[in-house]
Amino acid sequence: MNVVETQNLEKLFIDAGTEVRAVDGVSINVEEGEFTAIVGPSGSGKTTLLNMIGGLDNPTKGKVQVDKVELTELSKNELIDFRLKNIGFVFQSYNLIPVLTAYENVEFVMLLQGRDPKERKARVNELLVAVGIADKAKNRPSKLSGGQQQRVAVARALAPKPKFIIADEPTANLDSKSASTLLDIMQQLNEKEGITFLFSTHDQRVIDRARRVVTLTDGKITEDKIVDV
Amino acid sequence: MIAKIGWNNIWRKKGRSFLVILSVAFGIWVGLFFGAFQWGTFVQKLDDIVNRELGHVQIHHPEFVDEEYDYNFPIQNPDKVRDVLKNDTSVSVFVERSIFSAMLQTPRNQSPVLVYGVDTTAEQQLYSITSMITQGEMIAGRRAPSLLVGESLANKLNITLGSKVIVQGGMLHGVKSFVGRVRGFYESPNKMKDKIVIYVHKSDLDTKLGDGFTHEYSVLFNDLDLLQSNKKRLQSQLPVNQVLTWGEIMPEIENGIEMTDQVMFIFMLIIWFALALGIVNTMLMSILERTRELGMLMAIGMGRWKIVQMIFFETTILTAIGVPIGLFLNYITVGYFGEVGLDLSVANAAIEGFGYSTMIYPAMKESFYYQVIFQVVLVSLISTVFPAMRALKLKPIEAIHKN
Ligand SMILES: Nc1ncnc2c1ncn2[C@@H]1O[C@H](COP(=O)(O)OP(=O)(O)OP(=O)(O)O)[C@@H](O)[C@H]1O
Ligand SMILES: [Mg+2]
Repeated sequence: MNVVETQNLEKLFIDAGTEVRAVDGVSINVEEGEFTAIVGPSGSGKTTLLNMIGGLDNPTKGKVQVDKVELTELSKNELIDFRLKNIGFVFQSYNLIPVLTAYENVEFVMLLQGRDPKERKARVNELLVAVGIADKAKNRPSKLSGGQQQRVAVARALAPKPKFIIADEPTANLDSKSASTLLDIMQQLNEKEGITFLFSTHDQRVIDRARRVVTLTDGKITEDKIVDV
Repeated sequence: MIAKIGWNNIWRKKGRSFLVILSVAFGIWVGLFFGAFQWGTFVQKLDDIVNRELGHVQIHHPEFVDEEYDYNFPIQNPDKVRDVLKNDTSVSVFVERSIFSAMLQTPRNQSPVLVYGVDTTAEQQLYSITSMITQGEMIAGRRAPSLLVGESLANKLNITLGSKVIVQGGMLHGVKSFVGRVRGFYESPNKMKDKIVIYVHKSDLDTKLGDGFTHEYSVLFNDLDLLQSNKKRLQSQLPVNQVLTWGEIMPEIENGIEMTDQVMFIFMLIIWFALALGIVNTMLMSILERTRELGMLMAIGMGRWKIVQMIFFETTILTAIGVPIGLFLNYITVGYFGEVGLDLSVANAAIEGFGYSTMIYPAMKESFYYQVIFQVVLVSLISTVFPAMRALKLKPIEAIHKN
């Protein structure tokens, strides 16, 4: 089953009078359980594409369906709600709420969803263990390393059991060891829980871990290959 | 959790939060203090002039006031008036006076005066005339009636104790005059009055002029709030007389109070404006600083309404901390100045010129608390609308990717 389906997705930016076609006719399907990397040089449109798939940005043209729901037809508030219920996000940085502890950050989205306390507690603890932060549950983000923060962000994104997780350069600010740990965790969750991951990256070591690599060049898909591991 | 985020946000930038708390406290404090100040001034004026002299209402011959307090327009039916006042349960005190405008003449000078023919003992119920005496005395029953003259008038006319003067009243409708002797000087809180009013015993006047006229009944009620209805009732019971409230007799006092009201209002506007500006500014700063964070919150699915809630929660907490501090500051200052008094003579010579006491004792009224707290809370909530709207305008992607 396809979690994501896009058709001829286009995004046009008009920047100081010049048009930039950041995403130019992208049609891509992502199936449940994929572990897919979007790669390509800087400015190739990775972020723009992920934003549209994640319902953070409106396409200029084309269609995006997530779990058979056409995002372009949702209102602003419906989109927020849709994101809350279906999509987990891991950004490059500023993922966490600085005034909350790691535990509370992970719990936060579940709270917004109105899950009951017991369920929240079990899930948060389970995820903190899974990402290896259990002993730092009470730390605020400022007391965590960059890699630990990203792991908390992954746990946060996973907490409400979303359809899939979008991660835009999740390792960009991490040293290679932390990056590798984060990738291990993502991979494990992908395999154990069957969570679909869609992430963008520049990093060859990250690309090597993906099972499908989609290459973007100037907003177009120029390569799409399944990697055997 | 929203509350927790809001709460923790407050302590993130302590200096800034402190600033908001301080402006709220300051708004409350200044607002209340000026309210108390104004009320104190009002009470003082009432006390100086109304309770101690004019009375709440005065009863005259209907033409007496129009004829400029002419001696020849006394109360036609003093027995009836006395009767009505005695039997009216809302009346707490009333006194009879023989008041008329006159010329005070010394061998060299003259000056228009208002003669107050009073019974000093009866007047004691309103105010003590004898305690205002700075020099000399005021003894009844002397051959030439004893006169009590304001210090400033005495200075102006070069009157010394023991001077003989001619008092000539009833200028317009038949002159009545007598020779009196100045036997005392007085000074009252009302500087204007000191230049105009001279006191004489009513009994002396009665003997000297032989008419036994009463020109004025000055009445105090038990409850000043019922002034208008009490006035109406007395007027209907005494149709041949004229009943006037103190405001009608001295509109300048009422106007003065209204004027302070307006000054106060403008002053409060400035305070509220400053408060609003402070809150808008700090909250806006706090939101702009958190652009990325708010963008992230919106991206991961925190609805706009929740964001607005969070921002309002923050101002509400800051306000809730500021209010008691303001109340406390007010409690201390009003308590202190309420005892000691504020001397305005330096700051405002104009007030003195008006004829009021220059010592003001700030006094609180319960309704001030509700009013000022309500206003401050309202202002701070309204000022949060703008920063909150600003936060709502944030687009999650732009917010996240802003560097
Ligand atoms: N808000 C915007 N306004 C104007 N142009 C934009 C905007 N966002 C992106 N672009 C342009 O669109 C193109 C694609 O940008 P995008 O950020 O998607 O690239 P990217 O592949 O994520 O690059 P990077 O690897 O550097 O993150 C770029 O040329 C960029 O300048
Ligand atoms: Mg990018």
